[in-house]
Amino acid sequence: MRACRPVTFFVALLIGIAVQACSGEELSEPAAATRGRTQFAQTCGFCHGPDANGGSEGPNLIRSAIVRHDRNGSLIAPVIRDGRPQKGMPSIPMSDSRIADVVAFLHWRLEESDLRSPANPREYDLKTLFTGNAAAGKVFFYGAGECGRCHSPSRDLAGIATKYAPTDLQARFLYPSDVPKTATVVTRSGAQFTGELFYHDRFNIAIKDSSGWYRSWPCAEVKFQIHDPLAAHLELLRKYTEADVHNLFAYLETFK
Amino acid sequence: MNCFVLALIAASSLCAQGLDPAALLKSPVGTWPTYNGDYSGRRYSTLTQIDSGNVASLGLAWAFQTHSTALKSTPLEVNGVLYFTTPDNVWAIDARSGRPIWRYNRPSQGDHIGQRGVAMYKDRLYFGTTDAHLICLDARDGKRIWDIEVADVQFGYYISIAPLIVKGRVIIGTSGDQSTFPRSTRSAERQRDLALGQPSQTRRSRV
Repeated sequence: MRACRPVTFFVALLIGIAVQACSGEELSEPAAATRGRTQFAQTCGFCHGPDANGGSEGPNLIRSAIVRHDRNGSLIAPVIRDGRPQKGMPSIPMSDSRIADVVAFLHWRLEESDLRSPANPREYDLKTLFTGNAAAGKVFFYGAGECGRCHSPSRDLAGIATKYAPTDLQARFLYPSDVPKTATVVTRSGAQFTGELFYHDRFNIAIKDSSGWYRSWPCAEVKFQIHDPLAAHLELLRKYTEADVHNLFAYLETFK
Repeated sequence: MNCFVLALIAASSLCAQGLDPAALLKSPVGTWPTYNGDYSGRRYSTLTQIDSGNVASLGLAWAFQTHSTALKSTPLEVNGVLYFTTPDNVWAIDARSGRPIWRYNRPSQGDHIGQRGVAMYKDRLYFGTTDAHLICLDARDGKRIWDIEVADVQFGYYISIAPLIVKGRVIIGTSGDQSTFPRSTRSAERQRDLALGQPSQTRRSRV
């Protein structure tokens, strides 16, 4: 499901652009977002800026990992209610409905902001990619990112910055897609089969075994375990801050 | 009808999940390994789960759209996989779910009136084409292993029938009425050979 998110995002982006192109008008702001804009300006704008682009004290929320990963207030609401004392943000007393309006406003701001991003990736300014710190990226690589569990700059990643163009390299570590899942299936008779996962839904599971043969079973009749070698990459999408992405990318770019 | 025999000289590679040639000699139970089910040609299964008492209650489990010309082939069923054809195409699909496993596509000239199906031997499939070639495919992934010309499509020959495996040999015939095509010396000689009962073509090929 999570892997679909970028696709969904780009489809939404294209639809948004198409709607704009057809109507020749700006997308209209939802009523909740309009209410949220007023609320945000009163209670949050002093630090984060009236448009959430960041202010004297508070960070830019358009580029915030918490706001980006929020679903209907799942992450934003607790921050508003409880504050982030360790970062100097106080709790903001606000009713649930007003929090919902602020959430709607922030999501609207993301949408607005993303629509202004270059529609064609080739027009993306590379300078905006190269803003990270390679040393900090190295710390992330071996620390919080746990990249070193599977990868090594001297083995599989050697020369990777030469092999791939910058935008391709960034796309590959953020959304890698060419490593198949594997599955181990144990039948009722105890026979065990392992191979590349060919298909899986709620009813059936199918693999290509080590000799290349297709095998399938009803899920209810077997026990199985699916292994996704890319699971750690998908998990990271929930954790990355914008700085992490840029720093890690800067570090990977040193693997010439 | 021209008849060509291909000797299966080399034993094919491991076929743990392929078709055991011994299955070709038995009445089909839980499998349908040849166009006719077995060599008797009865096209009859001894399975009893579906009978006159419950046949009326059968419902649709899945449907598979070929997006191709009319589907006239008899599917083989081996180890839960169906192998079937239309002119220019071979599919392997999961018999339980109807999900495609692979498709082999070879656009060809010649008569596309119909295609009756493939033959299987161990891990290989044999498929006749509308331009009268015989194709050998790897049953695991549908990749072509070899392709030979059985007859000249310029004389109207095409292959619609399913090949038959007998004692490690592939038997395949061609269709096509030459009377409507200009006769060349070559085709006349071929006709004569057939009339004399001589094997007009015997090709041996590695499988």
